[in-house]
Amino acid sequence: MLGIIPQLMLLSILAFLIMKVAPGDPVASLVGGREFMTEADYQRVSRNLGLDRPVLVQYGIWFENILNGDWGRSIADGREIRGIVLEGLRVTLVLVGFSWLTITLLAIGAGYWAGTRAHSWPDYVISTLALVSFATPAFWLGLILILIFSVRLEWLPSAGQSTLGREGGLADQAAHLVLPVMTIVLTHVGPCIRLVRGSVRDVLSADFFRAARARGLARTTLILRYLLPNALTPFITWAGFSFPLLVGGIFIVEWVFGWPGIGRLFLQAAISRNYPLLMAVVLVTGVLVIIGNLVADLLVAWLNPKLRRGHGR
Amino acid sequence: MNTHPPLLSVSNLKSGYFTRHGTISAVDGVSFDLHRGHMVGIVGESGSGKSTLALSLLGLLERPGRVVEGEIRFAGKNLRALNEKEWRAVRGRRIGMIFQSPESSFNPLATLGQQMCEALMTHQGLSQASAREKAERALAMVGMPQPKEILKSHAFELSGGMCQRAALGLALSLNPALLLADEPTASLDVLAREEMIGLFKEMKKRLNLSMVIISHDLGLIGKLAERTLVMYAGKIVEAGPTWQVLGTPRHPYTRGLLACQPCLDLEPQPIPAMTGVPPSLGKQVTGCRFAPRCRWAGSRCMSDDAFQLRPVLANHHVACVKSEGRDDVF
Repeated sequence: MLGIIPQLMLLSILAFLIMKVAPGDPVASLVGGREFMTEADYQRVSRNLGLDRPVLVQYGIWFENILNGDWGRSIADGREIRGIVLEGLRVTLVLVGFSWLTITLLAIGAGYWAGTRAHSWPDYVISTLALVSFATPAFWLGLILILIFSVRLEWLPSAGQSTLGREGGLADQAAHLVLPVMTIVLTHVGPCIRLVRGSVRDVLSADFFRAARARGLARTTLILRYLLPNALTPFITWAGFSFPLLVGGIFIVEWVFGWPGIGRLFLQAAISRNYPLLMAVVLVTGVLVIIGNLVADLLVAWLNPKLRRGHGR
Repeated sequence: MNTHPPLLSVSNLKSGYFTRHGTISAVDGVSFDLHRGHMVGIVGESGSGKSTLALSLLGLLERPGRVVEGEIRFAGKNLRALNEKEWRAVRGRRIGMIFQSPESSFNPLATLGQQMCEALMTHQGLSQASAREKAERALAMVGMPQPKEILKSHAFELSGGMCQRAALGLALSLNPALLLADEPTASLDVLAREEMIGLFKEMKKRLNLSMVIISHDLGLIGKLAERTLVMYAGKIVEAGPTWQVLGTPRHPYTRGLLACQPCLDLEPQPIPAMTGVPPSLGKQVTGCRFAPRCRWAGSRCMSDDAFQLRPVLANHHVACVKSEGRDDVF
């Protein structure tokens, strides 16, 4: 548990260094380019933002502030970063939560179905679709879906999380969720289906499963007590790990659909060299990844009696 | 002679695996009878078709394998005519089975108690509490020291010998008429093996248990089985009373198997390994399938009926042309 703190410090140092090494200038991007401001103005703004100090001092100031709970203010508009990032996180979690839930249900359903019918044509169809899904880039699929469902058919909205002036309507928000969730699910569900299919096949050919069949147990007992618990353990572990990765990994989808989440914040901050915002986003994502791994570890330990007993003795 | 009809009667059983690359006949016309309270041993190398035979007897052969031909009569019923639902009333309840690797008899995620109770509740309609009681008694019967504690453990927490005892306890708790044991001692150490043999003997006496023991361990078969069948390349090459088959083997393959057994009583000497490997079962061969590895093979061994079982004594059959009529050929 305490290992988290050095991990986060290392992460913040690395992020800070990479940011500083990368080309680009936050002051210039405030007005759209160096040529639009006088040298005196440039020096003044840099000094106000503390950007004229040595890099190490800049990091030290940032670090001290973060320890005091001060996340700083956005260079671009001077708003409190804490509020921006937490709101972005909330919005992203809504999107990722729905996507993740759909992926899990689909993976278990389709993976089980394909695994119990290995090498039949439905299995081949599902496996092929899974591979196609794996190979499809999210930004491309997102644009195609917008083209079909928003532009041509005009069934679904293409951007944002609600229609302006109708915020709070549940149906409206759900409609805005459909296309981005569909994009994330279709591009991420493939490997999950393959994983579940593989472990279902493993259990079906396992000695203990044959032994259970030799005991003449009912079909439902075999499926619910033998097949599923054993076949889903690897997937549940993976799902635990993948949740925070999704949070960091869907920024393209958020960008395409104008979803005001943390991924889009990251892209905006990176483009305008909004250092404090960038640092906050990296840190929050890092915390999520670490928590996700922790939860996954706990889940595995809880599911696997071997590990569960290991701690008790 | 036994005048009752046999408990298990297998006639001309053929099972094979059907793959894209061809058909493998793993069991190729096997017949034998087993009477109540008796034990029959089936011996042979890996790949001789023993395990496929065992799985066929319980209808557990899975794609791409299946039973092709023949009859399995058990207690008057033709098992090959059963559907999956009727099979479930036979598996476990009427015919129990224990497997080679003891840990893999049990679900790694559930305790032994959960698994024993679930089988008892399925087959005997017991309540949770009485199933637990019965499971405890079954474990005590197979010599488990603390059945209550064992029921709370997972298979990985027990030794191989303990697991195999528990597997036997589970199988016997359902009062099967017949027990199939597929290499029951292969993965056990010497002490656990001796304990298992003693346990099988005791159970046979106490429960009038009938057993089919499949093993390449001739010592195990010699101590338990009344009749022994020697399998090679999917066929039975020698069948007879155990003391005859292991005492005065007629088939060169049986002799070869016996010669490979290490003997602890004598001066240590090199164990003669049998040369060659069992034939691949994909192709059809005429004549004796053991001939390529047999040092007595001659031209007569290539005739079409050379690999047929023929009587050499009452109750003793051998599939070797050179065994006919005399027993000093080799």
